[in-house]
Amino acid sequence: MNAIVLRADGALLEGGKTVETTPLRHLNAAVTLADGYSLRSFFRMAERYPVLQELNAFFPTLLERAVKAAASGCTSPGTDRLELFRTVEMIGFPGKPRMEIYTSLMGVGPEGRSEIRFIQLEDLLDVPLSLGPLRHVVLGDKVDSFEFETVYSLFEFIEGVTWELGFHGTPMQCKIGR
Amino acid sequence: MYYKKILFATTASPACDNAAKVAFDMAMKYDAELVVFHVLGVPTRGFSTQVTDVKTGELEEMYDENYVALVKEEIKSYYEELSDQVNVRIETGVGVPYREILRQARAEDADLIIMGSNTRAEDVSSTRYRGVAGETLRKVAKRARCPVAIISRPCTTCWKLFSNIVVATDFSKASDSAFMYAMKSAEAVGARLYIFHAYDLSASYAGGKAPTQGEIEQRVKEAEQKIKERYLSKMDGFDNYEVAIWEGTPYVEILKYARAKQADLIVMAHHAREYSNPDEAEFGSTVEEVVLRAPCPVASVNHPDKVAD
Repeated sequence: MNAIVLRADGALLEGGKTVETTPLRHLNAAVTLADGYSLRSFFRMAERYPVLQELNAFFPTLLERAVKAAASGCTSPGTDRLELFRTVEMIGFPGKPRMEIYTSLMGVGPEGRSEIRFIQLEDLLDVPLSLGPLRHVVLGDKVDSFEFETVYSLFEFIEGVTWELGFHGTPMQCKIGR
Repeated sequence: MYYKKILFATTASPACDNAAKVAFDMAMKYDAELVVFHVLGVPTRGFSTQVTDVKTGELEEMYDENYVALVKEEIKSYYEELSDQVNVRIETGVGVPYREILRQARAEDADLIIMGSNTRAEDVSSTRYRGVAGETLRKVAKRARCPVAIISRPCTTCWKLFSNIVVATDFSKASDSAFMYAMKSAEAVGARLYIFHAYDLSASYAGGKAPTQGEIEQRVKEAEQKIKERYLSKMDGFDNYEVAIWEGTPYVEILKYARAKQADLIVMAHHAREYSNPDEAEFGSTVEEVVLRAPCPVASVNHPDKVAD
């Protein structure tokens, strides 16, 4: 599998060289995140390679917000890092047995993993972003949950992060009606 | 818009906590009776006193008065903190949840049903499941004769203090009911009403030919005219409104518009315009996407009952 390094400044590096054009050719490459990679780096990548914004309908709006945010210090108490991880889950009752395979982006802090959709995007941009393991959950039983090392392609990485951020939408304020 | 009776369909679990806060808050503010309704389970085949609990899958005794009393007591204690100053009645039913909720709403003549987007407790990591609204919600929203308020995340504004209400229309008959509900709600709480239509570009592309700029502008003009005829003519002196027509993928544009206007409530018809009979319509994908991603509660309205008054 081809490999690609995602630098904190948003550049894609293949074999030590910066990808200048045609980032779509690298969508199947296995991703490694360089030191200092954060959600802001993710949006810098989208700015540098605008064609990637077409991978999710909410990408342009999210990018617009990220660009308008403060240039530094965008962190959230209780969220030490963001982690993208994959889950393979066998599901039984209710309904027919089935298997779900999906990626999730969650916050990781002193109290473990937590949902991030209630945190404003502007408070997550400088939180370090990392790639996590594959969780295998058997019939919803957390005791039978195993973790394995895994790799993520560039497509899975972009799609996984933007999917999760597509659920961000907590209002920033509430106004009083007239 | 005045609510005398609100039906809150719940599993009395954390999955319904956000919806519970809105339900109790609304009941208190409107001095309405709140019917907290829980479906005990689905009966096993043939004559049996047992039900399969819809949440746990465990077999439970259903006709046992003690069991029903125990469940009611559990629900009462679960919502004890929210119950202060609220006229609450707890009811239970046995059967397929969506049918029982609809049956109860009809029997109670409820003015509004409040539900979470998913009623079973989910693993919090399973965000992908949020891509699919709960089966019970889909079916209730499809068939309910009163508005259904769907709460999928914490509501930062109290219903009575809503200042921005967005109604998204596809000019279907059901959208007319949605508009009426949105306008009356806006009037009642002093909110600004945003009448919004998204010209569906994805449908145009699906036809194999991208519309020209001229065609898009023509469609926008037509939509403006329709809004004037169908909605503005019925405003009856209500002047706190704005009209907007955007083009793109409808759910994306609705969500972008709702965010831009800091919407406190989005009102939509639940089914797509091509269905004249609501019973034939699946939960419209636009509504589903909006429900799951919206920053605020979404009210699904598909019937003029409870909206005209």
